[in-house]
Amino acid sequence: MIPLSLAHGKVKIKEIKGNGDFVKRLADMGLTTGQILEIVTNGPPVIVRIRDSEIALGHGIAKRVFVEVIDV
Amino acid sequence: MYKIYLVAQPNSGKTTLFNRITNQQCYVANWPGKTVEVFQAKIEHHGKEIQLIDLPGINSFKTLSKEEEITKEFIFGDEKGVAILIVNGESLYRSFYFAVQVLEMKSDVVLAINKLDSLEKRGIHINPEILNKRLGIDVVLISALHGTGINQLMDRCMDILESRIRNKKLKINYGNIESFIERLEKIIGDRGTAIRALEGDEMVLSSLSEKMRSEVEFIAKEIASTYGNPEEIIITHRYKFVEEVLSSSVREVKISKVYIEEKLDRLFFSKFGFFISLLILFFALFISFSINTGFPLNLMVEFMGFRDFADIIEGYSLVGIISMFFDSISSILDENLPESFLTNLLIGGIIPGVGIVASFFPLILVLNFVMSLIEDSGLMARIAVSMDRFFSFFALTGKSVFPFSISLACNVPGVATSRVLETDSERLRVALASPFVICQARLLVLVLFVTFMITSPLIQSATIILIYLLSVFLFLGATKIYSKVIKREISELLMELPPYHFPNLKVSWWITWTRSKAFITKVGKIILLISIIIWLLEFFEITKILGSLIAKIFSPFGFESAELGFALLMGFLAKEVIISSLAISFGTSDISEIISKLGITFDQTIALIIFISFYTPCVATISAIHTEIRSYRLLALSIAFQLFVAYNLAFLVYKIMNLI
Repeated sequence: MIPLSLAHGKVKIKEIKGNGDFVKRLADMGLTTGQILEIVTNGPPVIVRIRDSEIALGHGIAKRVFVEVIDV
Repeated sequence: MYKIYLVAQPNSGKTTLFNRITNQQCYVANWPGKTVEVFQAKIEHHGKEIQLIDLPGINSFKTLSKEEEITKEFIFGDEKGVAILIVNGESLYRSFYFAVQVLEMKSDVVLAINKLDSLEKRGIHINPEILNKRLGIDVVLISALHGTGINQLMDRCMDILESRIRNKKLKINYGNIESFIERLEKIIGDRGTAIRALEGDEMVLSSLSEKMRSEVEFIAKEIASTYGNPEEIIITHRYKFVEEVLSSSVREVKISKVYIEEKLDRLFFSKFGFFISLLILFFALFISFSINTGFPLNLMVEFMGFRDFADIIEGYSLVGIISMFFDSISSILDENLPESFLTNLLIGGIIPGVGIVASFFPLILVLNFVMSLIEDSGLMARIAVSMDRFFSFFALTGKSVFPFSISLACNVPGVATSRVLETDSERLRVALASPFVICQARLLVLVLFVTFMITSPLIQSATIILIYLLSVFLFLGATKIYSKVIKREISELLMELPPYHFPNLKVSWWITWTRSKAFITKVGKIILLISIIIWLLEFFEITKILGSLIAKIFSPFGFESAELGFALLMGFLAKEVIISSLAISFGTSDISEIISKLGITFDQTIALIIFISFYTPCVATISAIHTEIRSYRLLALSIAFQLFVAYNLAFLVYKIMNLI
């Protein structure tokens, strides 16, 4: 498990570290545990593709999203 | 009268739909009990009168701003009327997650999936009948941009308003915590409210009785002990539901991202992105400024050695032409009207006041238009991304570049643009620091002093560039300093990147007009009022007394002129008034004569320019800041801070120049 800020390729979200509000803010953007993302660039800011949308995440947020690399 | 409300997240095309339905025949009204303005319109559909209300866009249910609160209260309340819930077709998954949450709370809803045009281009097909069955409400595919599906949408709204159909609230299966939710539903009386309570929604929790709240707490603990965090379980199940619904109703014929868009993105996200964004913003500002004041085009031309041509650019810029127009009106009236108090007030107070507003309006209009093109094309989001790294050094996000750029034209809309920032802390800090950004009004004063006090065009340009650099430094520094008095909150970029597309001129015009109109009504009134006050002060000869009082404060600089003192006091109201106030006091409009009558040295001029650049810009900006921050304490603090910085910086520079 590594933070999103360090990952490459296709990843799966394993854990989001933060309080309820933080988790909810991310959930509203489609970032939830179990979700599969494709990393477009490491940035900062990190840009990920989830299904039909692209999302930009600041470094501080990307550090708190832990992922597992599925496919490089 | 029937009521229809528009509910959507930002970027779903809500404003476009509102304008499409109303043909821009709208009015702004204050929301009852709140100081938030909401667009409304009276429309007719098949002979029935309907009131259409454009509720503020809401990012998520974890509400942050006053505007979003109104929309949330509507969704959670039981107001009569129908809601048109707009889903952004360009990001279905995320948009549906939001929509589903609304449908759990509200049943009188028609779902409008917007941006049909863009969906078709991307090879995405949606089956509204399947969605209708799964969600239990009417679903209409629309394109607000092209006007497709609007009539059908209105018909479906009428079906509900005239009680031809009855909807139920959406029920999602929450798996193994279902029994807990049902238990809580019996206690609270509403399933949607029960679910939101389990999610820890503060607005819902505070609406419950003490006893209910403890039940919620108890049940949440029970869930947590066997199945884990209830909030996370609910989010996961809700997303699963969205996924099921979408996979059964959406078919995608794969069309890959267009090559050029891919290239553009790669460029923006590379290390050159920052400079490309800078270039785009510079270009946007350059065009708007040159059309309006001639600057910086005139200085560039002059620097190349074409002085005559530079004068033409300056004289025939929009500001030049408009001031000429108002001057000639004044002189015509002066010759033809009988001499009286009212005539004097009209010629000396009201007409010049209207003239100032009128001469700034084109700038605001052009800049708003250029900015709306950048916004609508999808470039805005990329600029924010590429600027993010730089701004993060000051605990800001890349989005701060927009209020900053707009402030370069005028601080008033700049301060209002700080609303695009997500966290309260960033929004307040940027709004409070905005006055340090040199606006066009100050630039006019600056350019006049610089051109008449400094002969070499090279030093002229260098002085102005240095002052701008200082301004950027002070703005960023101030946002950092203000973080000491504003509660700390981590501001991090979290935003969606919309797909690129060619801006639609109609949409851009709608955005431009709405924003520019707000400027006229807000700033216009204040400037007009002040012009009348200045004229009255002149009339009753109070100016000399006030002027010499102010001049005393500047005795360390060696200024003694009461006229200058009064002009600086007027500058507190509006910066561009400094020159006209001097002109009236000295009885001449020839700038070189005014400056020679002031009798100031080169060192003093530089100190004066610095003071003028950085003390409180104008009353309109102060009132705009107050609208955003709603705290007299912070407002007073920021005014004091600006005066302190401007005075001491000017003094410091003056002393250093004296030493050299």
